Amino acid sequence: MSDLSLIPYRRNPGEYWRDFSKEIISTLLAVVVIVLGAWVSKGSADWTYLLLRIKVASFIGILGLIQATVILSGRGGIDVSVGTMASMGLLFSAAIMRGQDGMLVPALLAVAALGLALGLINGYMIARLQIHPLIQTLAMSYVITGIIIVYSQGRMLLGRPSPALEAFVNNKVGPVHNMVVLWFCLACLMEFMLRRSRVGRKLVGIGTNETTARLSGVEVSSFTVGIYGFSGLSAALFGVLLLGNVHSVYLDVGNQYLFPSVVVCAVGGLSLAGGSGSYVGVLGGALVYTFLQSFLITLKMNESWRKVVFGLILTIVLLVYSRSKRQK
Amino acid sequence: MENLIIEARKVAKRFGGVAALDGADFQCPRGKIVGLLGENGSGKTTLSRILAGYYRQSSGTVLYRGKAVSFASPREAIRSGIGMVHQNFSLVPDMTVWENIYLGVEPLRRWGMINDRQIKRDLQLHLRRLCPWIRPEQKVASLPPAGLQLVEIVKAFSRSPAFLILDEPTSSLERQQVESLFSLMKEMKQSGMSMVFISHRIQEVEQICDSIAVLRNGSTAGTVDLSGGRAAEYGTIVRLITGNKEVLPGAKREAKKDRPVFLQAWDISDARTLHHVSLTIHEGEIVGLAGLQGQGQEELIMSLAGFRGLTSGRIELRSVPVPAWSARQAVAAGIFVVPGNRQTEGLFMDRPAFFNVTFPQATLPRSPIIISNKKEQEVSSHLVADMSIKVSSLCTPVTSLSGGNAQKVVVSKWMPLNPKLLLMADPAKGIDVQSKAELYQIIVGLAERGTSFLLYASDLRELVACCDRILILYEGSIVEVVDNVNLDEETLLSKCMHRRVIRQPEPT
Amino acid sequence: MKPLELHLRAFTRNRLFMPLTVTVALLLVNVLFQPNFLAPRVVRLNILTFSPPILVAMGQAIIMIGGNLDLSVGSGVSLLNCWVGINMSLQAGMSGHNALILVTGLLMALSMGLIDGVIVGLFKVPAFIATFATSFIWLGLAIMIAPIPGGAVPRSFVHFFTFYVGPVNVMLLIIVSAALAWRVVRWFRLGRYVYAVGSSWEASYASGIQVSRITLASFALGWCYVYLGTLALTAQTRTSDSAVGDPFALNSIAAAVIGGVSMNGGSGSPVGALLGAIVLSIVMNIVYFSGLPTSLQVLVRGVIIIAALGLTVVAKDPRLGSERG
Repeated sequence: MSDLSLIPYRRNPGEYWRDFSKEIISTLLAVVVIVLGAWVSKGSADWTYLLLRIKVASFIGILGLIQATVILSGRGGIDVSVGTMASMGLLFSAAIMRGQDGMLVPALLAVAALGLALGLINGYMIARLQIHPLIQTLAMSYVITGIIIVYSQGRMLLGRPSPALEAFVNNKVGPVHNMVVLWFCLACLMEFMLRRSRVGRKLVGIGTNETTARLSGVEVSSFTVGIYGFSGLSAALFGVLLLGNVHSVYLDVGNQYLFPSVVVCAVGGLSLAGGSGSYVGVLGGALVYTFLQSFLITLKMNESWRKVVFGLILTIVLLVYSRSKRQK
Repeated sequence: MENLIIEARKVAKRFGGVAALDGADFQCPRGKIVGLLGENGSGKTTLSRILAGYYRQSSGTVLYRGKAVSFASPREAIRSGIGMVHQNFSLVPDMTVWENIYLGVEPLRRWGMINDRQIKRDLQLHLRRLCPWIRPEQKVASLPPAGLQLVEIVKAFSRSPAFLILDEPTSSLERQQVESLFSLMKEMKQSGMSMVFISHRIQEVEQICDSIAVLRNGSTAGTVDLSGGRAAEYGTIVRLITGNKEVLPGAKREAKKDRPVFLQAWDISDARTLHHVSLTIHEGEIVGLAGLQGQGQEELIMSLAGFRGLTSGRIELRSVPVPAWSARQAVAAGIFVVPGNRQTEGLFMDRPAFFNVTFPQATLPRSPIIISNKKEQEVSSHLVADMSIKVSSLCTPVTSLSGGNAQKVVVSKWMPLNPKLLLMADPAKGIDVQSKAELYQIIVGLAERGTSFLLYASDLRELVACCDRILILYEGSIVEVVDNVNLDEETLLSKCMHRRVIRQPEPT
Repeated sequence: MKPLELHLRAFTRNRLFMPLTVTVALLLVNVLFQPNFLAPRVVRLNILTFSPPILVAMGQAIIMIGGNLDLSVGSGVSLLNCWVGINMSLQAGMSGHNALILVTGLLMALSMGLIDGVIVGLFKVPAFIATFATSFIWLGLAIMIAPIPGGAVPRSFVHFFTFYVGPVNVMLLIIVSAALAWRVVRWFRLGRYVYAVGSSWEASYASGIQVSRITLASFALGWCYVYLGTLALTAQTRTSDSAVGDPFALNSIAAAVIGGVSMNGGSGSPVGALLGAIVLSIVMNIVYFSGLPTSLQVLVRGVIIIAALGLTVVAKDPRLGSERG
């Protein structure tokens, strides 16, 4: 029996870099992009503008947190249906609420239940029938789009957000938007759960090595079903949040958040194979994404150039991550 | 010297800050077979990979046929005439046996098209020698571990390299197949092939090699010349490897039949492999599973752990029958498994040591929902210390641990859960002598405190050294139960080999 | 066992059995809804419409067999379409100028494939996110060339693709040649190595195969097919539109999977993807002609695609749920 005081948690600062390099890189990148943006716009930018952009980032970031959970669970898992789930959540909650505060809670419950049900179907097909997550969620997104079209019959939609919802989404706490606070709190909560809770431990284990997790006593199938149920549920609720933000209700509103949700995870350093990465990275990733877009707009780039530059920068970030991984 | 086909002088290799090789010397004369021995972490794996082209040395010289070389990839080494028998590392699962064997060196017809007919002709001859039961059109994924290893062997030999490195080629083979391999090696030696034979099985190395090189801590500990006669140099060799005598805990084994019964299996069978197996495990008993490779040991372990479906029979815990045996039942009863392949089944490779060691404790149903940081550090610290796991910090990823230490991590994760029965699939496979001894010491210690064990080991000496009773498996049935009284390895081996199938439930 | 039974058994075990059955079944259903489906005029029109998804799916299949996938083919189609459409001049049919445009188009396609191949094969960035990133670059360039839909192609270009050699359409010939081309590639080491690398790159590396080069080659070859598909598309739409490629990325993957190409690489074939693309196109056809209200069509299409995917997966592994716990 040896002296237990000889085994430190971390032996030297180099270990911090090994364990947190991606989060550090994405945070630094976010700072760089924000500062660059402020410097370039020199005066025409002010605090209000900055805080507004962070609010935009928070929407993308919240869906990014949801997507990160699915990506962490491994097996190349990406939930391509979150965009349509959000659209569905937005439309159905608007229809139920019709601008009344009293109907807010029923709307939330109904939408959550629907998202949960569809998400569980995804999870079942992926976990029990071994269908690849990309394919399954893609197919589900087709189905949800179909449901939405059937429901809306192609017409302009009625329904409005309730005043309480709108107030929550658009108000501020001091100088900071509610949504930003929500985003930050969610990220902290989820990060804590990831590291310090039983559920988070299982998630990381399954994402890292499903076989080992199963042989260590974890019920992998059920957990996977639950993960996709969670993503369906929260994506649908995210749609309700979106409702508070838009002025007119239209069909495709959730889809535009789908690709950004995956991009912010990649920029945040999450490994698409699963098990590696953290929600903190998503924070940095969302900020980079949003401020990069506005930075490019400030430079008076037209849409085509913006796309090219965005693609180039994303590619470079990915190349940098792949190099830092190989040096380990 | 001109008659050396390979010479390594003061070769060093660093990975990050860790020196895997620290000035090792190695020589292989033309037309000879040299054994390479050493613990995990001794550098023999690294050295062989440098010779085969996977790594470039950090410093030192490697001379091949008298000229200094530094290969950038295995392809360059292959092109220069160096081959390697891997441990199922170089087989493509979706392809057939013949496609795999010629992968990379396909003979060509005109215009560069692959010459299928010639391949199939040549192959019949090679396969017939070592494994006539393997058909060339079989998909590799359908072969058992012994078949995979044999295909790897055929693949390497069929390319007639000038210098062949054999990396643990016998770990999945039975005695007879090993003999066939050795006769092939002798023949190839006559034709001028030089070979390096890497193994943990010292008797085999003594049998086939002309000389032995031993690595320890990254450098050469010494060489032993066997050409004068294969007298048993066993003790010398072990001393070179470990620096001290090999010790397996050979405590007096006594039958524990008077202890209360923990688990009984009645007549259990599964879909393909197990047939009417019955066994009893008492509290604190160490029960061994012996038999030739692939007689159902792994399947039995996994079925008792609840990870393989049983088609008939029943299992009783402390005389209480448990219907619908499943992993959940097993885990709830304190029955845990230490799987056969630690890298793919037992560890979370990129995760820190503390993560691996506390994983079951953190995630099993009865554990608290929020994990306390301080408690976790305490528990992992204790475990790492108690199990003598050599790791620089608790956050070190387990990828940087040597085989023996990694296996200790796999075993230690069950410790805090008060295991009642540990099912172990060849726990000491491929780990160094020192760690092996420490591992079995831990097993014996736990047994004394009431934990039962059911384990199988490919090295029968391990079973003889520590088991109370040994069950001999043949073709998925238990054919004999042996009390470990005055039993030695040769007797046990002969019992494993000369068995007919007796399909009756075995009285305990 | 009688020889006939053995042959039938071999046939049902073939990877293409399920996609072929589904195709035939859907064909019959289509005839039900659209009685003139098999009429020559309709067939001719359909060949032209089906060809682009077929060729792009075949290219995607090659990349998937190599163990990767390419999400940027959609934007790539847009970019190539815009390049060809805007730059070809209407006068004088197949003049030197136009031929040059077509050749540079091929070079562009190869470059795009090589760039993707370098990022994935050399730098080992996961294919999904790497090609996702490059898709923005291609799309941006496409919008630069053609900010609004426009441009036109010379009539001779269109005629070439709709030409008839006897009863056989040139487009059909191109597709059949494309399928045969892959068969021929498999006779060579390149073809076999693409399958090897897709199945296990570690084993391929240990066997002395240059893995990065094979990955590069699979991307380059795949994009050749993508380019062919874009030419067919351009002949059909006769114009340039930077949005034209949008559905191709995900649809080509779905088509390949329906056709039996494994998401993990190492198995399947472009012929399967061909069938898968036909399945998808016929499904859209059926839904359109079923007389269902437009709103329901999208839903039904989605459900049918799920069913087809599910069937393919089930057919590959009859022992479902073999793992417990």
